[in-house]
Amino acid sequence: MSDLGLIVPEMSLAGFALLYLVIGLALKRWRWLVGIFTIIGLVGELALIVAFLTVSGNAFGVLTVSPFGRLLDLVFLAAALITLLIYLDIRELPYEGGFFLLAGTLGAMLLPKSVDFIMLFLSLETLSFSLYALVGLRGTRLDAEAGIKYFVLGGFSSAFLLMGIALLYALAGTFSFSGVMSAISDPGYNIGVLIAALSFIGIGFLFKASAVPFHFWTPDVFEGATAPVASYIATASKVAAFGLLLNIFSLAFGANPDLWWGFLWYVSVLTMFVGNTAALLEKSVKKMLAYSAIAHAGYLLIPVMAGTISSFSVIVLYALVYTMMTGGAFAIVSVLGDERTSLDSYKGLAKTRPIQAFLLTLFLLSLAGVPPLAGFVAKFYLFTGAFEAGLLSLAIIGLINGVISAYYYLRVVVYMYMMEPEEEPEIPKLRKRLWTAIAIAIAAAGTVYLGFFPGPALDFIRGLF
Amino acid sequence: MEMLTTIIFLPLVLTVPVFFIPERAGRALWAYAIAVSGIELLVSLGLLFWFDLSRAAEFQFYGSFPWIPGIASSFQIGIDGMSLLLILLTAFLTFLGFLSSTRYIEKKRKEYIISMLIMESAMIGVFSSLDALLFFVFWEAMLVPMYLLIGIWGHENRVYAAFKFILYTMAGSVLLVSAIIWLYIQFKTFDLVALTQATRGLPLSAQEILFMAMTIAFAIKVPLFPFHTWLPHAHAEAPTAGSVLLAGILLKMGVYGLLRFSFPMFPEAARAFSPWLAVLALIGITYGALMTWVQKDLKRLIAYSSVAHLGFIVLGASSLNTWGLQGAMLQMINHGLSTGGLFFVAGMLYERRHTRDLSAFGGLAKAVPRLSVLFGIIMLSSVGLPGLNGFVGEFLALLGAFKANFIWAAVGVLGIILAAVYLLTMFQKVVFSRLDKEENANMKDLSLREVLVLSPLVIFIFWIGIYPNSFLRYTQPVSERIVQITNPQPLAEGGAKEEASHE
Repeated sequence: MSDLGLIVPEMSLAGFALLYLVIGLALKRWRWLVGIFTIIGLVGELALIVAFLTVSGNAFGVLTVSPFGRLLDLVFLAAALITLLIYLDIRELPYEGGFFLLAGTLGAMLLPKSVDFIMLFLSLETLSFSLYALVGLRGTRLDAEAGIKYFVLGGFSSAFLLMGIALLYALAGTFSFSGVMSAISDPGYNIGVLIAALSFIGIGFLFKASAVPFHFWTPDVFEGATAPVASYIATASKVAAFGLLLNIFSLAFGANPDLWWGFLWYVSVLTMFVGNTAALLEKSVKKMLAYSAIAHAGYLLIPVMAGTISSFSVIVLYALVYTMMTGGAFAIVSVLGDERTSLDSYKGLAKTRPIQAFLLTLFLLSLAGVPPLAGFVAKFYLFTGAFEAGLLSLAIIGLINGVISAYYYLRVVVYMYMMEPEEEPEIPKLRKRLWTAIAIAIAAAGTVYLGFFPGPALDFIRGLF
Repeated sequence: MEMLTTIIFLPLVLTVPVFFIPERAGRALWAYAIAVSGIELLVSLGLLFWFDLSRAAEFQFYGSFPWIPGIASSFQIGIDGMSLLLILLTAFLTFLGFLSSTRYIEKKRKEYIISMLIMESAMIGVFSSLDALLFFVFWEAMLVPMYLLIGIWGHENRVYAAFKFILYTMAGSVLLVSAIIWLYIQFKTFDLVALTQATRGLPLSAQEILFMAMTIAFAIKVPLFPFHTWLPHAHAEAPTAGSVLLAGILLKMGVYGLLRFSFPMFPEAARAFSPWLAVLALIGITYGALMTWVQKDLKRLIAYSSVAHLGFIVLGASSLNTWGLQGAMLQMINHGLSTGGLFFVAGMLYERRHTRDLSAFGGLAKAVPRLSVLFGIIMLSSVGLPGLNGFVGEFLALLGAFKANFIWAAVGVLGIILAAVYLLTMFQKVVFSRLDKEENANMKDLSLREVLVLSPLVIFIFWIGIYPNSFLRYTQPVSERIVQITNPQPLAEGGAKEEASHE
């Protein structure tokens, strides 16, 4: 297949994003039409990716198209679909946000496929700039503050990344992963430069992946951003970063694991503990979900370090499941409204809005890894992979963290089911939020189905590697 | 296969209609719940009919189909004599639990019924799983409904108790799941039968680590001293049916895990560690008994008595001979009946007086004769009075312990005396002492529904006490199998151990 043929799904998504901008302008008044248009477009894109699932090859020397990348694309599209549906339901938000979401998804799709540092940087910035715009789009003070924070810190991390890439170029004389790999395989290169380059690149990416100690932006940005945008940052953006991390460490730096392995070990352990402990203390549900996203970043670093063949399937499955449950939880948060994020406003939700309380419980239990929900399957598979790769201590630390996390996920359930509502709330019913309800239905169906019958999906994913 | 699958999933599937019954229709809700659990009980009794007693040590109603073929996990189920009795006990106590709840539970009835039914499915699933991963899924799935039962419908301190319950068990699960994953990576299977064959070849050091990991997880559930601290809170704060299922079934899952996983999988480690288990059990018996003695809260008292009673079960099990194991298995059923019964009575008293304080009662014999008589019988069964069920089980357990080590039995007997002391003291305070409070004098005696809850328990208490063989014959082959696995040459005392270590 020709180079252009390989990236048909990416090109069509770019086309669709532009089309959305135009059609959305025409249909601005009829949001439901925009919604239908979006669903049709994204489902079409989904079908296209499924059709291209087993196609692999190298496009222009900078992108490697493989089933792994395509499977992650499915995750990004699922995240985009869930997010867009929630987004369109919030009247105050301008429709243009949808464009940024689609553009960001394009960046996310390109990121884990990059095998060239320039391509990597371009796709990363495509993703990041869309997110900066999305966070500040509503234009309120809180939004703008979060947007600026995200932008400044994001720019900072991009600068680190660029610096690292430049150093690497000085060392290897090439931007391609394989070139770097062969340059640093022979002895005789300057190890100091390599370490510096690795550190800069590592910092840049760990920032995007919101790993400790580069996580400080996450809770603030999540609190300021609207729920769908926060959900998107937590899912698609993070998954893209991990897809890339797996690639970069196995393809570019795979020959020198001793340089980064120990560092990642500590980052992973710290990320799990800090994320979970901070979430324990958090009184805002949105911030709690932000810390939970941080903790999950810690879990996801484990397969990156394992670096076995099954790591790819672990990341895909975990990303898919994680997207479903986090997207679902944020969808419920969105229905409650961005001003109602404190735990207190969830008091007695089971009485006032039983369906929403039930669904949120479902997503939280899945996040806590309670069987028979999808979160359990994903975690079990992840830790089995860790044991298999011999990462015994890391797996046990991860499992212990799972227990800690159960506390704060269940605490929301306590507020919803075991306390009485304080006042008559003005929380909209789900049927008033049709698009959000569809998004929640997709997420809930996925969470339950993958929990009860993980066999077919897992076989399918494993079959592609 | 189909029958057992039906029994596992019937309650779960039948939760769906509950969503569509309006919360206002209280009677309809309860009628539905009682009907579902009644049907479940009847279908489970069918197991008894088709169970082939001559092959009670083998897994019957066996079935298997691939569940997650990618990691060789299958939906594999089957029951032997031990699981059969426990499944029947589960269905029985759930049914009685619903029957006892109709007046007690006044808020969120739908959620209550759904939680109870999900839990019934999960509990039966635990006792039927022949796949380690499936077992773990059911094991964990049961936590959340129980957590909700305690946390939503419990007494004042319910949220704390619920958290303590779930976090303790989850902490144990970390060890259990690590051991299961380790076994999977070593042997590439989750199949219990295959694993039990394969693990015997493991070196002693590996056996010991895995045995410890699994046993601690199960010991938290049992609960064995010193892992018991969650129990008094959870049992005391849970609503009546929750306490009954906690004491009656959930604790048995810990012992079941020991007998299904720890002992047969790691026989050498089991022999090496069984004295330690026995010592912990004996500490539990005496410590539990002394703690029970000083309790002022009726439900906490019963809860601590469970620590002591479960000590007998573990003592019998860790003697690793047929008598001890038979005693342990029978006592699992007995404890479900008698402690379950005591919790039912405590719930009935609470419904009448809204207190669990022992000193608030007194002289009930005059005021409520029916309640007092049934209460007395159940209490005596818990004491272990000859002629009632508790005696048979404890006697067998002690006999086994005696055979294993004289001192164990001596300390154990002390525990029986203490049990008589604390239970009779409690009974004396509540039922016999002077009727000096007006509220007690005006107390209503048992209604027909309440008699229906307690009388089946009493029937079984007498039945097991007088003719235990109807039950023991189901567990006999299972006990023999475990003894066979753990003692390759049971006759040559000491010599067997040496030979085994030379291998």
